[in-house]
Amino acid sequence: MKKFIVGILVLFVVGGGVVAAWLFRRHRARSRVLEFRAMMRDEDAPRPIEPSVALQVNEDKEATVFPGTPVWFTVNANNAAAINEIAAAGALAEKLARLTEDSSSATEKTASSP
Amino acid sequence: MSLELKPLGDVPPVVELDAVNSAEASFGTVSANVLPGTYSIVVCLGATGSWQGRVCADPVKLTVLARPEQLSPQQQLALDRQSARFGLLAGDNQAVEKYGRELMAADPRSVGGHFYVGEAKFRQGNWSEALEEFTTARSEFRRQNPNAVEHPQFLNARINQLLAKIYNAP
Repeated sequence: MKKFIVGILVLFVVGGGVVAAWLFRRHRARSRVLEFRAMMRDEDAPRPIEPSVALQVNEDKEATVFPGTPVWFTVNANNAAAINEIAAAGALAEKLARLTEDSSSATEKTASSP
Repeated sequence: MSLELKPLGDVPPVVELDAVNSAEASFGTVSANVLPGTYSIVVCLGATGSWQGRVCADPVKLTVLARPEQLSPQQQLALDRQSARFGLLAGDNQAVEKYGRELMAADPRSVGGHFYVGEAKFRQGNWSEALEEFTTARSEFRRQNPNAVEHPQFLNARINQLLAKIYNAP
């Protein structure tokens, strides 16, 4: 009977160890993934600036025609990435200018108050 | 598939892309001699100017069907619309007027039909007929789209242009 109880205890200890090791490994794996995703969201990382090209057939993404009928393709090229960067930089500059104005007017008010 | 495409309208030989300028050009053929089937077509921009890369557009799908002996009214209407639009892009006024009139013959209240005939007359310098067609097209557009949020801006612009021309004429 004593041997049986000891055996059960050993089984509990070994099983608990295995479960604890599995949980620990899973926790570490998740932490690694989170670290990797955090790096991907780095806003300061340089973004490639490259042109965008778009194509349409008969002014749509799909067209159905018969042989001997008109077909035309419209190509559009732009620097959307560069346009977005400049727009974002402009918006940021505007925001900074507004913040500077707000803070200077707040300082003036504080200075003029009795 | 082999298509002999020509530039439609005034396509400059060189365009400069920067953070402000974009470029658009159309290339086409009035009669596509292509075997029936489904084609996937893509366009790529290679190294050019100061940019050394390669970027491609999403592919478009072109389905070519075997032409039936007799086109259904819907198929004929779609073909007339395509032909009128192509004529407009290619600067072929005769085709624009011809297919515009076909659209009007199929449906006297066709907004597209009145628009295409009006545009052909406008390009021919026939202001009064052009104005009549454009105002009919606008009235029909409003009648057929009573809840339209967007205004027919091109038609409005053309009508204003024509009114200015007619009233300022000596």
